[in-house]
Amino acid sequence: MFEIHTTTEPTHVCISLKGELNGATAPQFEADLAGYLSNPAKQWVLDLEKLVFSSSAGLRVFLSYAKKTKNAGGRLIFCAVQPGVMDVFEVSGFNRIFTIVPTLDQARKLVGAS
Amino acid sequence: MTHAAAPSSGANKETEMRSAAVAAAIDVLFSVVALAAASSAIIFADFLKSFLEFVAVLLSWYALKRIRKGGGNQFDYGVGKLENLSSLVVGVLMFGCLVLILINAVRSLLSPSSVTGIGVWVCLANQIIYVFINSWYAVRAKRIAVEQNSPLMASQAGLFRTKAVANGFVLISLVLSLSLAQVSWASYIDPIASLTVAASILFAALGIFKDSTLDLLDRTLEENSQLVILRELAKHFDRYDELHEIRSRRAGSVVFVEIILSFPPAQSVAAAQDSARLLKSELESEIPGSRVTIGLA
Repeated sequence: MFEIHTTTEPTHVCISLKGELNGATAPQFEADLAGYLSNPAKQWVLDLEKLVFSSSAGLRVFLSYAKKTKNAGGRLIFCAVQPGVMDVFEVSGFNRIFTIVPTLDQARKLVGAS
Repeated sequence: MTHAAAPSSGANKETEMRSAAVAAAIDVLFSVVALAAASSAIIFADFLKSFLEFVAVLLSWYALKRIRKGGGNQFDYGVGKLENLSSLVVGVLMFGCLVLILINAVRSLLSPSSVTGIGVWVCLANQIIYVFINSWYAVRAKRIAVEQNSPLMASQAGLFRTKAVANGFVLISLVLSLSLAQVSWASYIDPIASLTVAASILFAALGIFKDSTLDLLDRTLEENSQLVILRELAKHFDRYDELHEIRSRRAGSVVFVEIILSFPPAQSVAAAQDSARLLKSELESEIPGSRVTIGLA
């Protein structure tokens, strides 16, 4: 099962993922993300606290989205990445190109939320 | 564009297969002589196995020759799957061999008799020689299979390994049958040993069937290779503007990867092509047997 919850705040959009991101769930996630790019705040926080697994299909969506936010002049922050997902981030070298912080509070501070 | 193997690697495999075919033919000749001059279930099993293995090596050699020659106008997309078809035929032949050995072994078990005849000594000498020859071929085929990511050479390595073990086993069973000839139950050693040879062939045939059938179908690329692709894209994150699509599949021993990227408008076409070339060469060196296409959106 995979769920996406979004919260729009004045400074940013927080996207919380829950469950497993794989070949079956990644296309829906990608389609949903496309809608968030139009947000004028241009800052996005991906809260991965409840994301227990991400396959390469999920990683590809992250990579593509990171490019799109960068091109849109925005900022993408990953937070609360669980150990299993962090492992694949490290294997794929994503930890070197993404901004990753340990908690949602730290991510909110980075985007200037009160 | 054809997808035939590179000339140097193809020539290497073909030379290997030709010399293996000659060795297998000599093995068959020895086996025929031993079979004609002996009464033994395991010598019969050894003859059948040697003959079918010779045919299998010959088929593989033919497949390699076709691949080296190329598909002409009829097979513009390559003849690489001949390797997989050839491996499948090897599996079918092994099953045929298995049935014949089983029938003969059951007959020998129902009416057991001593292992006799001058052919037994011919077979003993043959087994000693071919334990070494087959082990040598198995090691060489395995090395080429790893270096060139070839399913055919992998199946050949398995075949020669099985042959070497079977040679050792036939040798031991014949020595036991001869040395224990005075013991009443010793006449069962011969048919039981031939059943063991049949079992070893069954396992080898099943393995070849499984691998070749899977390789004949286009499959999703394994997760570890997908991660390699993403790692390279992450490594060169600043070289491209947008990642549009990644398509990948495995067809036989070949991995096809297609990545669609766009590059910054300010970047020259030459710079974009350099980046695409770099990504392509790094991916092809990281993923064995891969053909990478970088499409520019």
